[in-house]
Amino acid sequence: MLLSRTILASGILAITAASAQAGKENDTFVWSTSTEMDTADIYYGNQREALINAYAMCDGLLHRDPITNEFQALLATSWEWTDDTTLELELREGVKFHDGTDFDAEDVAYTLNHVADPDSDMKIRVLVDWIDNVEAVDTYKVRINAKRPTPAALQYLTGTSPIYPSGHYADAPVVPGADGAERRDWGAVQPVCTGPYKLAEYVAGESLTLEANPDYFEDSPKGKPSIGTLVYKTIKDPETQIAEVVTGGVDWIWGVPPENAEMLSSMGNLTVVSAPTMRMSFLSLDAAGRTGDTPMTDLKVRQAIAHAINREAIAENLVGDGAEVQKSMCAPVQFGCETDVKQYPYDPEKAKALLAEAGYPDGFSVPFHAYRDRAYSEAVLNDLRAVGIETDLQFLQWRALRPKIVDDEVQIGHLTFGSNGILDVSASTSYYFTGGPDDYARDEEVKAWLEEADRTTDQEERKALYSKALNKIANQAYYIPLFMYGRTYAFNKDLDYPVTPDEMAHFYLAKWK
Amino acid sequence: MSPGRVALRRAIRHGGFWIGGTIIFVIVLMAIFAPLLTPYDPSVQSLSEGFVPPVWAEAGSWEHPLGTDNLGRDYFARLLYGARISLGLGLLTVIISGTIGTAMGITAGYWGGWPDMIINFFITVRLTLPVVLVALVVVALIGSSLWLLILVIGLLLWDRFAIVVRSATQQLAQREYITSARAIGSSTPRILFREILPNITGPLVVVTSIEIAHAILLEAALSFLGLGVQPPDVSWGLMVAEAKAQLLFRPWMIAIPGAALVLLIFAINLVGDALRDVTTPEGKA
Amino acid sequence: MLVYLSKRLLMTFLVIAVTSVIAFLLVHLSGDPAAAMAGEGASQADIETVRETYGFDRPLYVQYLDWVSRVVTGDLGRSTYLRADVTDVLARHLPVTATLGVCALGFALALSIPLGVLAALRPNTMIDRFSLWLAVAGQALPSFLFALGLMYLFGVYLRVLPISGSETWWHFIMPSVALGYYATPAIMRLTRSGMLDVMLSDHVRTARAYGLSPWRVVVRHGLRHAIIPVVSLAAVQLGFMLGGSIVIETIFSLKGIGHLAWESIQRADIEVIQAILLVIAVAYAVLTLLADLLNAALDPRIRIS
Repeated sequence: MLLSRTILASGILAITAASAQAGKENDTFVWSTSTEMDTADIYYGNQREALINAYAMCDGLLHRDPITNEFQALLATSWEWTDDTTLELELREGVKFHDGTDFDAEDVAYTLNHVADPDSDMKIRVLVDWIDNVEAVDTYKVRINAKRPTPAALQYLTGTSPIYPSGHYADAPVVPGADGAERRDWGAVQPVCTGPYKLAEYVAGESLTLEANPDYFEDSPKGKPSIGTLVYKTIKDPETQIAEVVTGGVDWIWGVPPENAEMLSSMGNLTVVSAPTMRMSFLSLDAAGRTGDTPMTDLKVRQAIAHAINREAIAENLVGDGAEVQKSMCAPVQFGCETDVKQYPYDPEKAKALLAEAGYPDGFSVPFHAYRDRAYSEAVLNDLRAVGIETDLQFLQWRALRPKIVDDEVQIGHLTFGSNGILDVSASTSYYFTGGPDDYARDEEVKAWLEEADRTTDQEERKALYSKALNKIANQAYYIPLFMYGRTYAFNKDLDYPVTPDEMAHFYLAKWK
Repeated sequence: MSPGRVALRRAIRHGGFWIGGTIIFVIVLMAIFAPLLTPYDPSVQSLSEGFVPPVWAEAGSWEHPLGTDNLGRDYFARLLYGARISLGLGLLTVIISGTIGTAMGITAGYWGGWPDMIINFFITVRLTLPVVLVALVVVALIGSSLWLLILVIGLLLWDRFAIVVRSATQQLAQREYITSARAIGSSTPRILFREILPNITGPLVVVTSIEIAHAILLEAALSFLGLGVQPPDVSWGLMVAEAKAQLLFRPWMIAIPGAALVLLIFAINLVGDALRDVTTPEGKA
Repeated sequence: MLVYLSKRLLMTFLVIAVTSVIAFLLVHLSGDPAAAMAGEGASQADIETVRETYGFDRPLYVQYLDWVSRVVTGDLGRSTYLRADVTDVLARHLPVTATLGVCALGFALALSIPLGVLAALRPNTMIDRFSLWLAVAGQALPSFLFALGLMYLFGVYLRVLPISGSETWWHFIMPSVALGYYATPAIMRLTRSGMLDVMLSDHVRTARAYGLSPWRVVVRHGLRHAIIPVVSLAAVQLGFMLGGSIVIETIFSLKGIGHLAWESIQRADIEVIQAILLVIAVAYAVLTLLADLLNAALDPRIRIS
């Protein structure tokens, strides 16, 4: 069976010469990154590429304008907190899903109830854990009951939470386990949405094709789609990506290394632009001793590590334009991010002195886990070596690293986090310091402050609590903030497209010049 | 004259032997005397001095004769110290694979029968497994230390040793002087070490040279994929992997370690070919 | 012949069986398959659930037999990352590698057989020495360097060939050359020595004595005999290419099984890795079996020994 299909497919491969031709002439916009998409459903994977596609093909209740950061009406036309834990929303009428069915309150209730269910296997729990249940009060009116006061709720109801039609997950494939046990693979269901683009084809790990939706409703803050076809292609090798964008095989890439930015822009057919992002790069240190009694549990050792790393040099020389040193364990644009905390300036001598005080005059050896942007990790490693800390680099893919984090195996982890674009500290600091599997600090006091701040509705009170937590994190050097990523984008000169500082690509706003 | 001396004389007259031998000799010297040839440590970074071009380019200078890499590390230093690992790894892996393969080959060739069938089976199984993938699986899942790498490559590349030694041993074992040695009661180890082993050195040396090259290439491929040599160690394969992203704009970064690799393998192959011509003169026609 | 065939079949079957055990063990004795499968956001409890659901807590030989019994019914398992049956995933990726392998072999044969014949016709002349040197030099070039060089020259600088992807025949040209040239020296040498042997044989010399032009004699009679070992070598080389295509596929972004294997290794996508190791081993075993059978059919001496 496999053999005959192979032969047949080889034959077809030989005959067909159809390929996605990129560029303005074909009204096909091809963009490429190195990630392999493992699902098109943003609830079941948290890849940035899936989020970008979700914004183009799906709508959430609210829309956050990428340039002004204001909330705008999308599938919901108005919203109101009737009390501390109840949010009522009026919904837009006359919207159709891509499969032709009408959108109404039942769909909202179905989608949010499904993903909020603790057994739903949904990947980013913080987006829906606050929801107790959702009721369809009327055809175009819905009520969301929160478990507790959730000031960041409106953030969570934007593009990161698309709405699907009722019964959407009913056909999820049953995945066989051993001995007759069963699971449903919800993430395998192709999304059906209401957005400016329709999903035309999704090939896991390879590509995702979207076509403009001519029936997209008027008055959407996203506007009407301009470019006819959007194609996402995975190209693993960075230099192949660059070669493709230079020769016009691809119209858009990001992650251009800073040393190539100038040469690329001199090529003439490309626009090369840098922008800051919300993505943090930091070191997680096992202060709580989850991996055992290691040097990381000693405050002086952690502070030594902080002083050993030349963050300015890395941000300026390696990450490039748009990057800046990260001051605190949160993204500066997020609400509640206190940046006036203890800083550890680059001082290798002080680092060595601290190590000696802690009882390691000759340094020590430690495993170092990383999963992305190897050159940055190498730069950090080299700085650590210079003060006597020998590292054993374990460079893995994220999917192989995450189980190790959960399993108490990571003493030093070089991690990054984009907070899913949520502009609230509850999506970043609280993710790492409230006792979950990613929390290697396990500080009860910090946890209490953060949990309270996540639930209080008084803005000033929240800020004060977050400030306390972030100050303690910095004083204890639990984690070491390194830098905020900047990204350099290179794209077809014919593309009229707003580069935004949120590490998102709002292609639905793009047009050919 | 003993066959060894005859071969040596022929080798000295063989052009390929000289060219290849000289190149290898120079590379080995460079590797050994690396600290004398460069003041830099190959893994000390200087982030603000990244991507300095080599001395022959406009912005280059003799301060960094071959330029620097993305982290500001001196390229010439990395080339020299990388030679150590590339060469050292080639030698060590071949010691492991050569020992395993030769032992298996002699056993199969001398005794024949069941041992031969079993060893043939092992060889076939080994040939059926895709080497690169198996190495990747092991290294990815266990972790990539230099010693593990040497062990894994050594444990995977013994097949040609086994095949060649087996056939050479088979041919020898049937010769009269072996059968007569047995007849007068010589013990087996004595026969193996005094009669067989010295007489298979010809093909053994040829295979060794091929397999050193093979091991170096396999390490280069693994490092290229990111699962070979890890920083702060440096090998030529790793240098090519790191320079890959600069292919379009700074081709010299790939060209330099690439040329070094090609030159080394070429030299090894030349010497290997020369040895083959010299030990089996009939085969040249 | 029948005896030979059954012996070889038995051998092939045993080899495949042992390889399957090795493939299974390699993958399962590393890390924790349950943690890898549970993936993102999984807590300790989640991982234990996965362990029980998928039976990772059973003894290894039980898991192995379970896997084998599924494989022989055509169920190669499920990819947790790609959310699809491994059989479907392989069916999508195998054609690319198969096409690449065949084209690479075609290139190697097209280059090395004529060179080998030419070298044999004019032994120890410039042409002979040149082709031997070319062969030696070619083998010194690592395939990934050659591939990058080709990509740069023809893809970016001259812009005559596409750089990545596998949509058209043009996309396979550079990868085939990069993958195939490594087999060239071996095939060339074998052709050359085979032709030399044949040319010295009685019936060819007789034919030439009769005045038949060397070309006709050589090509029609000589090649036919010299080709036998070459075919067998070619089959083996094809097997190597199937297993060794991963670097080329990565560089040119060809979505073949080498590329898939590499990705699956990085993602700890266990079922896929196991299946690919098995498939490649089976392909190689089958190819060598065919090569041996072909040899035996054409050359009776082999059957008897």
